[in-house]
Amino acid sequence: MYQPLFVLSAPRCFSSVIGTMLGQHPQTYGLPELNLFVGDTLGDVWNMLDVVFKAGTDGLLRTLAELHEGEQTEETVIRAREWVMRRTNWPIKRVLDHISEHVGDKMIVEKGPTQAFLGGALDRIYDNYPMANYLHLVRHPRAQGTSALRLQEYIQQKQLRQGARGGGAPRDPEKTWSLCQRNITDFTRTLPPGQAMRVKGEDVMRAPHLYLRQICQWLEIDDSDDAIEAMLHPERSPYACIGPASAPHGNDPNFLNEPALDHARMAKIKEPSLKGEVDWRPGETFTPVVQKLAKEFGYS
Amino acid sequence: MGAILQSDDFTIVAEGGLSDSSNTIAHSMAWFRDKLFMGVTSPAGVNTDHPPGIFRFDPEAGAWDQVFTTPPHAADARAFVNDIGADDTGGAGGGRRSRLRNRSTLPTDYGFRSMIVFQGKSDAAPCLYTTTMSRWGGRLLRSEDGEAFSQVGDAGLGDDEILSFRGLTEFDGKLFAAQVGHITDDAMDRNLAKSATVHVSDDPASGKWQPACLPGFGDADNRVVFSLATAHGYLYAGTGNPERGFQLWRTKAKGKAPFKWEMVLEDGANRYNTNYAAATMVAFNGDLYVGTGITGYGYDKEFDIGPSAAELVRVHEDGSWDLIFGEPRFSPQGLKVPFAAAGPGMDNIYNSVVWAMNVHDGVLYLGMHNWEPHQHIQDGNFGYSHAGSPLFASKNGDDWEFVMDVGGRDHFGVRSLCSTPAGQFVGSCCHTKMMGLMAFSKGGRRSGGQDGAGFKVYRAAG
Repeated sequence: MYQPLFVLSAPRCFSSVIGTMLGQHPQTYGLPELNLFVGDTLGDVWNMLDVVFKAGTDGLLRTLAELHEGEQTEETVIRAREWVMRRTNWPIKRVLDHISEHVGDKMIVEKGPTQAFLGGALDRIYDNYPMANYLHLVRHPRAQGTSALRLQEYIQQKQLRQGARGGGAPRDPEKTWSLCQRNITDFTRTLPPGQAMRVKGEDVMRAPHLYLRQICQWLEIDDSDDAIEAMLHPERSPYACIGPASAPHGNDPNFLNEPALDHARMAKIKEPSLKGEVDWRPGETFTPVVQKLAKEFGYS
Repeated sequence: MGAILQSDDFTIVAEGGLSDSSNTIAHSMAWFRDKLFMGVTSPAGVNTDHPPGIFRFDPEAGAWDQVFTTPPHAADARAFVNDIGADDTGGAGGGRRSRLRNRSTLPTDYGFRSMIVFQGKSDAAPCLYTTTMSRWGGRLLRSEDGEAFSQVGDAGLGDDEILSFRGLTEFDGKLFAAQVGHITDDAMDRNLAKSATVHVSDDPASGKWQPACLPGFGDADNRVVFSLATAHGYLYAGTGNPERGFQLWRTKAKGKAPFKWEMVLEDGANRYNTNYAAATMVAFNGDLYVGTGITGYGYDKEFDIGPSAAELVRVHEDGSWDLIFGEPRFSPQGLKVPFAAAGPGMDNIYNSVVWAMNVHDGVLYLGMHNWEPHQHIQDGNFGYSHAGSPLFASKNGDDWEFVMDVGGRDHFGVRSLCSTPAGQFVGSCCHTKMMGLMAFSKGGRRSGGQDGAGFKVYRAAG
């Protein structure tokens, strides 16, 4: 029986593509964003996501549809939602254990950036899975911030096209980055050496063979060329596409639209500088907190 | 190969800082003319009654004598200069400066950082060389007989803003040293260098030295060279780099200085700036062992790094490396898992620097800087107990044994190790007075006063 692997990251840190790659290993099963650990029971989770992140239920609905009925259609998603509504009193561990039973003898790979910035979620993961492995996935705060701003703009444009009112000024992505990283590092520092490992998303993207193999070695699963090759095809995941209309997401929209790896593009990924002005606060540089953490993570 | 020394093999051969308890650090040691020579440091550098100096230990008689006492120096502007990084000790701020202003002289040197026996071109026989720490420029002292010491060359090797030199190392018939610390009439920084440079001389008695490398090896983020060692037929230099972590460089030192160097490790062995410095290095069983560390009490205030604990890395001749103890991680060289199955600081967050390493009787010894007493004071626990700083040993570099705690309540580290025909010597660092001042600054008072102040030296004969 494998312990789960939880991928901990801030939003916009390659977690969709890398989480899905990790889930394509023959001994693992990659899940979309379940966002289960934002509450104690399934009902808590549903109520929380309804307030802060409506699309956050898509991943769980798609997972239940896929595992219960072998396909993700409007009908199977509707039945998955009914399944949830009848079990709002289930503790979250029971839900994830239920998913694990359907997955079978594989390591489940769970990722959900929401959990990194909602208070208590990481402790909740540990309380329920104290022996799990944790992979802290990081990305340069400038690149992450630029990506987050682009996504905010995309969502706002989409909402405007749908007749919604404008969403106002964009959120400062640096605050999200630092909050998530502090939550994650405060959590992982409490773990014994080796239970949590950190990896730069840029490294995995630029040299996937090198770093995926090391991650396999750390997890003590097959690190053969065949296993690595399987991981290089995230597009083969049943969750690596736009889902049914009532649960279309569960991962980053860009990834869902183009899930196959573009190796030429990946090889060109560069790390920007920590020095200089940030786009989201004209005339200002990164805050000291962000600079400290980023340097710890290997950015300069 | 001998057996690993055990705690009951050691006896204390010096305590209380020998001449005065303000001698807090048994800083440097060398075996010369069948005696142990030890340079001591009094970081405050204000004790004109018992100024720091060089002591000699006769193992036959079991007795010490002081063979050099630093002379007084007129207390000019540099005597009152602000000591960067020392403002939380309660001992180096305005109160201390105002006390200093009443003095007409201070000891020229406040400590002796490095010591080696070396024979240069114009030395008729091997001589004892030592480097000092001085507000008026670190000096190089030379002795032919262990009795008389004289300065060779100018203070700071010609630049009196250089506070000190460390890492005296012989390689290919030449003597190397790294500058550390920077002082002007406005400020003193004990940790960073004016220029992260290694210096070389084949005739130190002449006082002529040259830069052996480009400043910072061409990287401005290398702010100091922390350590020098020889292994694999190379001279290695380990830097302190607060932006990206230490770098390790090596050279064959052929041709004219500055020599051609190649980088062996970067990015703090992929722990980035958490591995701020390559603090200590030693060759053992054909490999180079690099102990890392961070300045301050496990946290570098100037660069906001840490708190973190030290690691030990083993470097092979081909540049590949192993993690001996430390933080498991992914790297361009593959998955690194600690061979000793121990995390940073040998699983102790307070072990922030590998402060001393040596090989004695075929066994590798490693002493830590340990800042646990400081944390007790910060927590208001003024009656704390603290066993001392740990000394570890290994026969193969992979499997480690705890040997003993060195010092006692206020001891912050194993500062020096010296293997001699008369046995293994271990010197400590003790900050009793500083802890008392810090407790006072927090509104408390420690029991025991100055009991146990001053460094200790241990000896395991044979």
